[in-house]
This record gives sequence, C-alpha cells and structure tokens, in this order.
Amino acid sequence: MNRAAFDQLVRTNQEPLRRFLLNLCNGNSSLSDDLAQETFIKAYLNIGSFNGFSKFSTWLFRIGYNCYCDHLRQTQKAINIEINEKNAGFAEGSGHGGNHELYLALSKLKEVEKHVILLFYMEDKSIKEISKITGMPENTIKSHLSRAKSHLSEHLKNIGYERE
Amino acid sequence: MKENNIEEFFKKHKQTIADDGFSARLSAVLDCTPQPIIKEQSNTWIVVLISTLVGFIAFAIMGGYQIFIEGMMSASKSLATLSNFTPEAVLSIVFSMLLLAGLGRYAIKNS
Repeated sequence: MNRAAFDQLVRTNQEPLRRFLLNLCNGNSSLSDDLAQETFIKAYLNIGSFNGFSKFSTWLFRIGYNCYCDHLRQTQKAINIEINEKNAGFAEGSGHGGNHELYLALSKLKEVEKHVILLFYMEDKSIKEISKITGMPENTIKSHLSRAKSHLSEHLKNIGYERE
Repeated sequence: MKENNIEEFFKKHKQTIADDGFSARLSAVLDCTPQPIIKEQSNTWIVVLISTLVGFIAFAIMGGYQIFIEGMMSASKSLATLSNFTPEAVLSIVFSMLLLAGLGRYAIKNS
C-alpha cells in the first residue's frame, strides 16, 4: 500500500476513530487526538500485518483500543466512578467537550462496559466486530452490554430521559 | 422501550468530528516516518524448499520419470484402462503436482 492510499484511509476513518477515542477519554480532545495519531502511525508501520480477514476499520479500532488501554496502564489511572465523574467535569470545554450529559452517563458505567456500549451504539459495531476490537469473547461482550444497558437505563430514568 | 431510550440517547449525543487539520498533521508526521517494511514470513521459503526437495527425492527414488511417462502413455491409450495406474504412477503424479504447486507459489510470492 502506498502513501496516497493510506492517506485516503486516514481521511475515511479519522472521524469514527477520533470520536471513539474522544468518548473514551471523556471529552479530552488533545489526548484523544494524540492517541488517534499514535494509532494511525502504528497502523501505517504495521500495514503488512493487516491480513484482510476483517475490515480495515475494525483493525484500526483494535489498534486504537490497545493504544488507549496502554495509556490507561501508563498513567496508572484508577478506574472507578468517582475519577471518571471528575474527568467528565474537567474535560468540559476542552476542544470537542460540551457533551457533559453523555460523559456523565458513561461515568455511571464500568470501564469495560463503557468501551462496549460506545462501540455498539455510538460506532454501530456488531458484537463480532467488538469481539475482534477488544479481544473478548462474544458472550462476554453480550453480558457486558446487557449490564451496561441496565445501568444506563437506570441513569436515564433518573435524569428524566425515559420516553414512552 | 429501554433499548429505544438508549439508542435515542446515543443518536442525540453522537458528535460530528471535523478534520480540523488532523489528516494534514498526521501526513506531516508520516512524511518523517520511515517507509513500512513488509516483512515476509521467515519460514515461508523453508516450507517451499523442503517440499520441493521432498518432491524431487521422492520422484527420483520411485523412478518417477519412467513411471510418469508410462502412466501418461497408458492413460492416453484408453481412459477405460484405469487399472494401469499403479500406485507408483499415482504417487509420482501427486508429487509432480506438489512440486509444480510449490514452485508456482514461490514464483508468485517473489513476483
């Protein structure tokens, strides 16, 4: 694959990947763009290992997801609701922020539930694709998704989002 | 209803992310990045070499040429006389095919 072809792939895939990472980073756009850039560079350098068994976007999301997980590990962030809530508040107004309602709702979920629900609802990925991206078995994804829906539904009900 | 609520919530909050120079900045970084090296799997040539050698050796040991020619000739005489296909002839044909397939794959990989 030459550079022109790769540049075209960047243009096509940058929006969903950056949105996914932005939402994982609770609206911190500078961090999510750094991760997105790292993702594309890794994809470019390892393009030879893309075997074509899955969609390019799925492969790219997997790299992005791993970059995000590496970042989490490096920064030793404690994954709990309190810190997520703090981040959601802090991120507001930074770049693409201002989606406080979404980040607050996501802060009610466990980290893994957040990943799964964002991929499923926000990025319209299938269970099979989510399994490839996260490396978790499909049944595990289904159970995380079910729990996430339950938690989120409860939160939406509390904030009066329920529609009849 | 629960499903609809969640779907609607995410639909409502789905952001549109403008490029805002992201692709251009990335392109500038990639300009300074070395070209990706497409690594060939290190064991590929070993597999091709071994299968080729095995093919040749088996072919020679079993008198492949003679049997192959005889087999082909007898086959060409009449398809009805399939009993002329001795196990040796069948083996020689199989190994010949394997040899050709191996060489073909090697040629395709290197082209």
